[in-house]
Amino acid sequence: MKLFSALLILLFSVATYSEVVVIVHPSNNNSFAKDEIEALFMVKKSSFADGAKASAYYLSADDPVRHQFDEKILGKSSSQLKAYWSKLVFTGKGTPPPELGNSAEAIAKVAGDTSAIAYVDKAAVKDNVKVVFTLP
Amino acid sequence: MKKQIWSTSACVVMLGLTQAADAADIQFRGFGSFVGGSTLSSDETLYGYEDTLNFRNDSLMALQMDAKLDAKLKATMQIIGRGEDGYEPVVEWAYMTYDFSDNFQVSAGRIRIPFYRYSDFIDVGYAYNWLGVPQTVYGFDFPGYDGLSGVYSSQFGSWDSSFQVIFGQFEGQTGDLDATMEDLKGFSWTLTRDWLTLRAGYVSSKATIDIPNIEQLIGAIEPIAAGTDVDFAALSSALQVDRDPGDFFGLAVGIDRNNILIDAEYIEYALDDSLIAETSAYYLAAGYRFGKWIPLLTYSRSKSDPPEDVVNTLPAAAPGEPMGVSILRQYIAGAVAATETEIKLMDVALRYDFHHSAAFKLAWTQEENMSGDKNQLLRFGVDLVF
Repeated sequence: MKLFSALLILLFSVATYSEVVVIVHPSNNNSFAKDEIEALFMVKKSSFADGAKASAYYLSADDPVRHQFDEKILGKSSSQLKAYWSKLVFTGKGTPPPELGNSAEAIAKVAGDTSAIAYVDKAAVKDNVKVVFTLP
Repeated sequence: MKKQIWSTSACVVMLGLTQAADAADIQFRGFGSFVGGSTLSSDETLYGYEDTLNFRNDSLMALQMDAKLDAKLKATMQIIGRGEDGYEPVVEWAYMTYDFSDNFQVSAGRIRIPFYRYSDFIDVGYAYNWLGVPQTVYGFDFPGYDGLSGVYSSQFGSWDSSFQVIFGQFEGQTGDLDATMEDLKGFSWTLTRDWLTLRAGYVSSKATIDIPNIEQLIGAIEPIAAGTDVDFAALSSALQVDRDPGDFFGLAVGIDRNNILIDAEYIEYALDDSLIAETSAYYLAAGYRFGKWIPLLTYSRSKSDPPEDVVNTLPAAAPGEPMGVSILRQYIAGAVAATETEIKLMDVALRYDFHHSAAFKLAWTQEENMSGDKNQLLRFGVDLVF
């Protein structure tokens, strides 16, 4: 029983404490402050600081990384974020960023698209993308 | 041979699909609510609910199609099936949108009239915390108008601003009444800064509404007026809503800070030269977000002031006037006085986000009228978006 709880705690910690990073294409030379990242992921901005087109990507709602990013960077629970986008989508005033299945998919997307910006589990990052921000 | 035909048609179908995918990027999304409720005793009725469990009144399912023709041009259609209408699908939104820039978009077609803060997404229960919006304020309900809407979004320092202008016409039903609105125009302005939202809205039009009670009154006074020199046509027009200028004005404040939620909205509307009472209403709601749970308390009040000036259509009371005129004046004064209403509403709601795209809600609502009669309603339901 003790072992079981220890295992649970371990599993839980792994899920909770995966480090989350924001990634862009290696050719993207902009610098990113938290406010800038928030604006891009809330689609209040659709271009990077240098004026190039920016396309943000979310992870699917089931991904634990998504949950951390929503809370820490966007300041909303996943439900609040869903409600926020529902207001815009069903009134024609905005569309949420497309969702990608998991960190590996997001990394593949960003590696092949100079306009892409996404957040992923740091452990999944390879050198085909550039890390521009690490979540506190 | 059969197989060959099959593969040919499969090819045609596949080609067709590929072409369609090239032409437009089409997305389907939707939302739904399943709500059950009943009043608390047999002599109470509220919003169409009685003391037997009803699952139809507030239940609905909606599907929205967004077709993106290119980065700037989009077509949108939203179909809603409402439980109270046997889920018969009705196209409630149908419009095309062109983005002139990142900040400015124009839509043309059938669009919701932006009377209230929650008007645009009033059917998307998931987007707010009540089970249903307070009817004392949201009772003035018209579905979509046909025309144009322009939205200009900008940023002033740390404020996000969204300014919408509308222009068009309405022809359809408000509640069960046939209505038209000509020269419909208005604006809504929403300012958001971090945890604070401010909104102001104004809509005006020339309205016509067929109201059976007013027609009955006119039918009843016609024979009386016939025996006098009262201008009956002018009198009927002063009672009816017949191309009369109407104004709607609303203000709202929303606060969402440190899990404390506060919402307030004030509205007023008037329809000149008619027996429609000038109405003002407000609500004040306060809630707290305990993780996935949100309890929300709402107090609301609406007040309708009788349109006294209708009586002035008749000549001033004078000694020795024909009896018909005095009777007319009594009739009209009675009808005017009857339009006075005052309703107090209390609502206690609980939201539980049991899924990332669905919420369970429970709500107790009580309305109290001028004579102190109370009607209480208990409702529960699930809202979802997909």
